[in-house]
Amino acid sequence: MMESGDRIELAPGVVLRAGVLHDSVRRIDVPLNATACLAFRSGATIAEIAVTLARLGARDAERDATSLARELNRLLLANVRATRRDRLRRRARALRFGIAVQAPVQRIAVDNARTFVAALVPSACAVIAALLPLASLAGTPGIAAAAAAGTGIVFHEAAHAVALLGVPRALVLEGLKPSILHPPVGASRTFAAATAGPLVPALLAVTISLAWRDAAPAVVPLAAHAFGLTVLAPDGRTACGLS
Amino acid sequence: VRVVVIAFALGAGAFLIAIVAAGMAVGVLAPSAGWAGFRVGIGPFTVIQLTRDSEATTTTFGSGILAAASLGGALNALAAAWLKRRPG
Repeated sequence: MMESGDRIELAPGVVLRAGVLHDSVRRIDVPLNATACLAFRSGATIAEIAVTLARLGARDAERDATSLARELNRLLLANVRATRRDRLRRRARALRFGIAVQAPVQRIAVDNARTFVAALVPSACAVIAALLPLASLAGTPGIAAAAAAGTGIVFHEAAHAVALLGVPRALVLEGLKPSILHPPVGASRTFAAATAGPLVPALLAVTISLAWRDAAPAVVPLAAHAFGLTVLAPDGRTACGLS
Repeated sequence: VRVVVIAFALGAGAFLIAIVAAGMAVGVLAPSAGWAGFRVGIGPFTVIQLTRDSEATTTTFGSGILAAASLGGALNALAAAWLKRRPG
């Protein structure tokens, strides 16, 4: 859900040059139409873009500005910034009508390990928080398993990112679901990148279990990442060349 | 054929890892749950066997683990073949 006060910023790795959005991560160019070229300015709010569109003669400038922002966000070319308070307010308002609001897709630069992990912390915390009430019934091993399930997300995505070392890449958060955006690579690199994500946490679980037997129940959620290698999961389908 | 072979290998690997991790976890949890011991397998093929005596609990993986992993690989390969043939 987007509102007029939301700020639209070009995603990391995207630049606007001569009316064309150049995405250095995917190595693609997306041309903007003449009106969008005149109205769009990275960092402007939807309301500000709407004002420019209205000056250019748009009949429903606010709707057009929102559509432009939504399309750029859908194409992973722009991030939509809203304050945490606004996002919570919108969620609460929508929940009153039984609607779960999907946050705009967010594209984050993979500059260093710290920013990468920090970007994944909300996803990891959400998984831990969701599992904790049930897991805590099992005592310390249950709590440790919930923690392992959360940290498994970080290991999974980090493994994908490391397997793509040397290739431009960005982290994409679709709600709390993370993925790695990158340009098309060769078949062997695609296979390595797809399998690394599920394989690293799963092998880590086996290694921990062998080295410290008492920890075996706690690392079962990490081992479950192995099923990401099967065609049930997108990574497995990519590794098999099915997507 | 390449898709099916890769799917078989990945599926078998996934099931092997999952069985080993789950088996080791069960081996740790069994004594506290008061289980006397058990065996999972068919005929001579033992996937996992847990034995307890007064001194220790032993978890043993048998040759059945390879059969179970192969079965998982075969299921994954079948699913991959079906996905590949599916139109669209």
